[in-house]
Amino acid sequence: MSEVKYTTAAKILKVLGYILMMASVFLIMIGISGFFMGPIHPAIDPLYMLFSGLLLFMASLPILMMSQTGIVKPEFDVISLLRCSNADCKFTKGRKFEKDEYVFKELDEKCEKCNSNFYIAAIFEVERKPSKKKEEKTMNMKEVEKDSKQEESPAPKTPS
Amino acid sequence: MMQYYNEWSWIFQIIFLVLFIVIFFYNQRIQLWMMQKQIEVAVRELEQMTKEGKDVLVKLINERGKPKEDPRPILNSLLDFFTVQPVDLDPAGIIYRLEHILDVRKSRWEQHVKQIAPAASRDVAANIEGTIEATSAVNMIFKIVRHYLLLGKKTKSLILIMQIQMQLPLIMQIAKAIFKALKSFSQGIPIGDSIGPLVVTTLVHDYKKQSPPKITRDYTKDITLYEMEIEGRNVFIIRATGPGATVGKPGEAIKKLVEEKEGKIARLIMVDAGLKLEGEKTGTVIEGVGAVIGGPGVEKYKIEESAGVKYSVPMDGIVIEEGQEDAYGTMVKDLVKSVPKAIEKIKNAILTRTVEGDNVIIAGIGNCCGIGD
Ligand SMILES: [Zn+2]
Repeated sequence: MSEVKYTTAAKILKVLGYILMMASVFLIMIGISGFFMGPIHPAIDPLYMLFSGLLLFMASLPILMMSQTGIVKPEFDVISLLRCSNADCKFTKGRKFEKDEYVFKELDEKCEKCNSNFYIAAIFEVERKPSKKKEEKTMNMKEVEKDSKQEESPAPKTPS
Repeated sequence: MMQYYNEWSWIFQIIFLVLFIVIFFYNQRIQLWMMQKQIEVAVRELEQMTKEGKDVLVKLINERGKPKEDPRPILNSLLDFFTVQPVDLDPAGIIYRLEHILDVRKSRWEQHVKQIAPAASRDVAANIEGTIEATSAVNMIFKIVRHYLLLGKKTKSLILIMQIQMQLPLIMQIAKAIFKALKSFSQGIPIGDSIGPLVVTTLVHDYKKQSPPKITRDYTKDITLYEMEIEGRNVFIIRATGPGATVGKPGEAIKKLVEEKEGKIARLIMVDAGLKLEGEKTGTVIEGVGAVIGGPGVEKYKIEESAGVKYSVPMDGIVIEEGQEDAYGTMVKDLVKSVPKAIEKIKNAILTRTVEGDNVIIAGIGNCCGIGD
């Protein structure tokens, strides 16, 4: 729940920002050491290294800040789990929660299999998958249905 | 060439010396400043939550309550409503003094909700009450964090700022969870704490074909009692009355029931949500003995005193584990999946620890938001 998630673009930006920052620190170090110990190579001017390092450092900061805007806030869908009131059928399906619904409310909706009324067996939330909205959403629903079918409570034994 | 760099090295030496001195003497100040910034961000977020909570609340009241006057003044006073704990210097009878104060508080809140939302049904009124309560909790967190931030700034005290900054992730987690509860209450969606009532009511529905339950609403205030036969036992099922966000006083109801049956109860089984440890799975069902019920302790005391001490009814506890953020937040799928497992445990307890014809009490403890009967 509390884990931070980034979009792919933000992830790339973040990595790029860190690489730039590391490179800039490296350049600055070479620059400074040049002043104390003389340039490591006659062609490398320490002052030039220092300034380019500082410039790179300045550039890495806005890139890192930009990557922070790409944090994906988890979004949730509230699902109503409908169950067929016919004890022999027990067909279940999930759909979006609608206003004024509560668990164990009898609905007017009919079961596709046996035409009995549905009731709401549970209401819960699932995390919305970020990309490809429509396809994913129906996928998600199917997952919910499949899961709920597997996790069905065992039918009460009829009293002997 | 060398000369040129040696001249420059002077300047760098001085810069480093200055930096060294600054960091040597002011590192705590710099740290303090960084921590302050973090807390400021959190305070802004909390303020936003409080504001949004109030908006949700006003919208809910205007939509469902049809207020005659502007609800804002009363709401603002309710958000700062305080309850004074009874004196514990002389602890004798403190439970009943505490209960009295809580009763007065509850009736005051109900009265205020009635005043600002006269058209709201009983369930909607309960939801409004829950929403106000959650908003006031977020508001309280906001005010406390802001208090320590401002006090720390004023006194430049590292310890005040540090305390808050170190606890910030936990504080924000709780605040976010309560904020989610606020939204759930306003729409009547079950929260994680509703798992107790959900389990026992699912049990009722599993057996209602074979033995139609006798339902007594308001057995005690805001408590519903189901009397039915499960596996040949006379089972009394107690839970708060839904689908409004009520918790009722299950302890009171159990006490009344045990006294009515003159202690002829073979087993008291209580189902409740319990805090899991980090690393444990949400929705794990565990068992134990004792009165599993949270809250200020009044209800627990009543159960232990009447069912426990007076009539020595054996008490079983079934706990569904969840994190704090799950308990306050909207119910998650893992919890729904735990319902059949919890019912299995209840059935097992009935079958192995009672005999046919016994009286058994099953209590589903928790907030009934969104759980009808
Ligand atoms: Zn069906």
